[in-house]
Amino acid sequence: MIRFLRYLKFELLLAKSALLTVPGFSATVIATLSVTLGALICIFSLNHLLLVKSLPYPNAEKLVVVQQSYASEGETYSGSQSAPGMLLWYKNQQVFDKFALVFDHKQLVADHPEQPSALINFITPEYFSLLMPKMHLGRVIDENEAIDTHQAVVVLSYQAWQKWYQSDADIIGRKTMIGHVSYKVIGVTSEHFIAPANRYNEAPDLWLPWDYQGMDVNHWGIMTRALSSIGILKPGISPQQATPSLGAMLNEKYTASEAAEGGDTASAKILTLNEVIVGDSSKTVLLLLSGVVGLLLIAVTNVTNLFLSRAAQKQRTMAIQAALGAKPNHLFIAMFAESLILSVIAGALGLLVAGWGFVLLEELAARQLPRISELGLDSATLMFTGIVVVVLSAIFAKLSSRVVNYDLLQSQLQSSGKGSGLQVSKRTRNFLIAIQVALATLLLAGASVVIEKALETALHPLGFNDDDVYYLRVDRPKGANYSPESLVEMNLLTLSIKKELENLPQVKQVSRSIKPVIFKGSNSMTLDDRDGKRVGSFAFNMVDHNYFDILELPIVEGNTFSEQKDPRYQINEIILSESLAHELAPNGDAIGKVFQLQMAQPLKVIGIAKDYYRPGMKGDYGYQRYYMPYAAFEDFGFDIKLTPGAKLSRETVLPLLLKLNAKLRIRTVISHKNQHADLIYKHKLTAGLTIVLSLLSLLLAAAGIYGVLNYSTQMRRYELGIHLALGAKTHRIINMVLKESLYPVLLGMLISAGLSVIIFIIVRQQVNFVININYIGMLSVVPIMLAVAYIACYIPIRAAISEDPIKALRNE
Amino acid sequence: MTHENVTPMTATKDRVSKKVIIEMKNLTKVFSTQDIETHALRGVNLSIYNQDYISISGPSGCGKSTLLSILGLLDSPTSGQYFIDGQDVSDLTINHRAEIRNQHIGFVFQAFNLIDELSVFDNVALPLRYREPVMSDTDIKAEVLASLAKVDMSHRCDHKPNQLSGGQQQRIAIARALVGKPTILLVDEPTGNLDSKNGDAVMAMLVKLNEQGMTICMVTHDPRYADMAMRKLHLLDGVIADEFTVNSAVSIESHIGEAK
Ligand SMILES: Nc1ncnc2c1ncn2[C@@H]1O[C@H](COP(=O)(O)OP(=O)(O)O)[C@@H](O)[C@H]1O
Ligand SMILES: [Mg+2]
Repeated sequence: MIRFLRYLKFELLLAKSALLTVPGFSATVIATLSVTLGALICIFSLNHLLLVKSLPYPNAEKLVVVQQSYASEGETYSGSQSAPGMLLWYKNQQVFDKFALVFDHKQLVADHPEQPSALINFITPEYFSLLMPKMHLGRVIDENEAIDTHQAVVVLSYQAWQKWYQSDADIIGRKTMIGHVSYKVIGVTSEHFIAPANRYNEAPDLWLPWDYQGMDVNHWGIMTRALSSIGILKPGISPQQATPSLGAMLNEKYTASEAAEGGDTASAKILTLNEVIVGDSSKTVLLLLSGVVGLLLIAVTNVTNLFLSRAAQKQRTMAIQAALGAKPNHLFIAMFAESLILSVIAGALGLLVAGWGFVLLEELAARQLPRISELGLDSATLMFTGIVVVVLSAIFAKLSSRVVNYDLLQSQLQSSGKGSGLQVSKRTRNFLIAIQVALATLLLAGASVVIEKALETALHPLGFNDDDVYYLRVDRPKGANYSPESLVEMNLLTLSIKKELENLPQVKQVSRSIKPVIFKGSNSMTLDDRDGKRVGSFAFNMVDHNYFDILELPIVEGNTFSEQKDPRYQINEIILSESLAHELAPNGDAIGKVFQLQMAQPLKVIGIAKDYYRPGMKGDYGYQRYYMPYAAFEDFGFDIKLTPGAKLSRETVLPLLLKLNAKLRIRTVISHKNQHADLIYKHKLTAGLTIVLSLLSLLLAAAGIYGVLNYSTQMRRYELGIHLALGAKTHRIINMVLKESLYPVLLGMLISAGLSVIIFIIVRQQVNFVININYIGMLSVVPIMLAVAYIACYIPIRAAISEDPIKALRNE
Repeated sequence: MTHENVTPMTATKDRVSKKVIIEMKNLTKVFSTQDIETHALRGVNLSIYNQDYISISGPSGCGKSTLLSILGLLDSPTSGQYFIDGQDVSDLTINHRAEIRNQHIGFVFQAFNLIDELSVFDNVALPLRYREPVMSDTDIKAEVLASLAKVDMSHRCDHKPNQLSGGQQQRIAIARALVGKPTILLVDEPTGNLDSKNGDAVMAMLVKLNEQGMTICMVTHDPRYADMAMRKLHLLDGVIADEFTVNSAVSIESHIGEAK
């Protein structure tokens, strides 16, 4: 080993000066490898982080989440959790060592001049004893602030403390207004504490005691995905053992509640915290990994080819070395020294590229992928890089020193020194080209599917006019309950807000609504027929009569609602989307039909509105929705049509609201255009990144094919020169060489076609949903690939042909 | 050319006391390409004794280079036996052959075959780098400098080969061949790429080396230089046609004088 290292050291010195004499070769290898290694390292880190690395908490692998599942009419719903169920477990469970409740909710930092919206985790004290964050200042929420103690304290995240509290070192003991309550600051977590993020991968800004979460905790029918738990089971109790008792406890209370109908059941499900956080992102990151591995394979083929040419170039040197007693091993090490130097440089640059990739990922995908903020060049990444660099160097050295025909070395030494040079065999060359083409075609075909899907969502027309329309959402004032009197009062308030908004000079029209037209996620409510039989669960909204006007969403049949001036109105009308009307009344007689919400008053269909598209919705089912007249059941929403080009800001709106009611808080003001842009951002990003990846792989493949053919045409210059000297027309020679060159290209395409079929079959078995593949999109890869290959073949031939034949014959 | 001082090989007294270091028995070499078989060597029998100075000459294509390649273990014979120091080397692994080349053989080529990227010093040091067990850098340095001194090139240590004249390059090549203290020096047309002045200097150097005890086997088609050897082999169509032995190596001065 020491001998090996000493010899390697000598060869490294040699290789260094030798590489300096071939800057073109060195630069090409380094550029190709550093870009691909950068991408590989970046995506490897991501995979390692999400699939291997444990969460940054003590006992991370033991942390679990218990979820409620509800079964009704043969269907199981999980994800949404009821507060009474969670509290039931919290107070009565026997299986957890520690068990914490977490409710995830946004509120405004009210005493901040900009009233920013903060993501709050309402928690029981066990949360912090499970996660054990280091503190920057003060302490965590502990037993003093246990459930039902009503201690108004807040713990700030380091980031929130910096952002909103000017990094105030004396903040402990100070008060801050969150929503409508004033809390005493008791702690600031350490800069490095990474709290579990919510399902949108948002990390909490502050933590408040559970008592202030403000949900109706007695109602089993109100369920939310914002509610979750974290726990650690007692020693000796496995999740399988714990599940039945938790399930039975839940089922008993649930079936006895008003929310359960006959036959409905509830059960428990225990997942690890890691599973919950990573979710199906593992699929995404594995897909990314397979993409970069494909890219790497193309790059490796290219670089191998470059090294083969390099070996040909070094043939005489190696022959001399062999004559002086160098063994095949020595020659391998000589080649290895060169490939190692280049790979190490490329690896170092690759780490830089990867570091830049981390920043990019954090910038672009922090909302789409979990744990992105933890990405970094950790020891696993460095080790991986080291291994890849050494393995790649060894592969290049092995492959290129293998083609050196040790037995024929002597013929190199006897000639006057010019030498014919080593011929990399035609089979090897064809193989290299075929592999390049196969990999690139495969990557491109896969990419075409991804791009198509992403663009389908991103470019799909919405079906309504979002020009100059803004959405304003205002928090329901504190203290408002759901009694009929309160509802009338709130209706009145929304009408006044509407009037105030309409008085703004830039505002043309305002409609109230309880939900934005498009938003992330979906809402749905069941609809029954007049006999109380459920007809389905559909997206819905509650809107004013001019809602459809503002959005220019035509009422294709019937009428819109009548204008509500009196806050004491009865809700007895319903408008269906075209798709829902067709679903509920296939004969086209939807108008006049009567439906009802659970046991409520009849709703008569008075109109049918055109469908519109919501980005991210699944299938035609997404088009089915219904509308009812507005009532202030939830937070107040307003769709506001402005004069062309006008803008609406918090500053304009806030004074109007405070004039009406000092307790009103703005949740969001956003244009529909921006809302839409936010929603399709992820898809645009996916399409963009995939296009970049495809272009890169096309470029690499083209460069590879060019490299191989350039080399082999160089080798054939003499032969081509003779053809030319004997009077062959250039186009005949070009045709002849092109035909030979395109053979491996076609072979590669055939291989990739075979591989795609195999992959398709495997994926079909693994994934349970149907993938509709656009075969036209996939087939478009073929002409692109052919064109690129043709150009890559043509250039070197053209160059060889266009010079005087005598040059080729003299081997100048 | 006069043959007064030359006798047929049959009876040489001092030969008996010398040790056989290389022996070839009925050696053949056939090059087979797709449809042509070229019989480059057709049964060569040759014994080389310690401190011999042999020249091999013959028309182009008669198999001189092939014979030298096989002698130097750069190529393997098709049939026949080949011994170095009594050891059968006709059938060895690649690694073993490399070792023998490294320890027993010193090559000098017509085209010098120096490595352009390496300095003169590193070129000469190359055989020692492959030596096992590994030599220390100080030992390597001492050997290289000693070897360069023998060919009067110590002052050009740090030059690159392409900064030197052809004659100087060939001297560096000789220094490289000598540095590993080989059993035999194999020289293929050493003056082929040199003008006559430089050629003469190189030949004088070989004669001097032989006088100092080095065994040399040289291919040349220049009769002046062939005559400087003790044993002159004539190769024709892949067999040794005849051999003349000189009682003692002729002084180079007399030959050069004669040529002028
Ligand atoms: N690698 C080879 N493949 C085929 N034939 C060869 C090869 N090397 C040499 N020969 C043939 O062997 C014969 C002897 O060649 P060589 O030893 O180079 O002759 P010389 O050095 O005497 O001119 C020639 O006919 C030559 O064509
Ligand atoms: Mg020859």
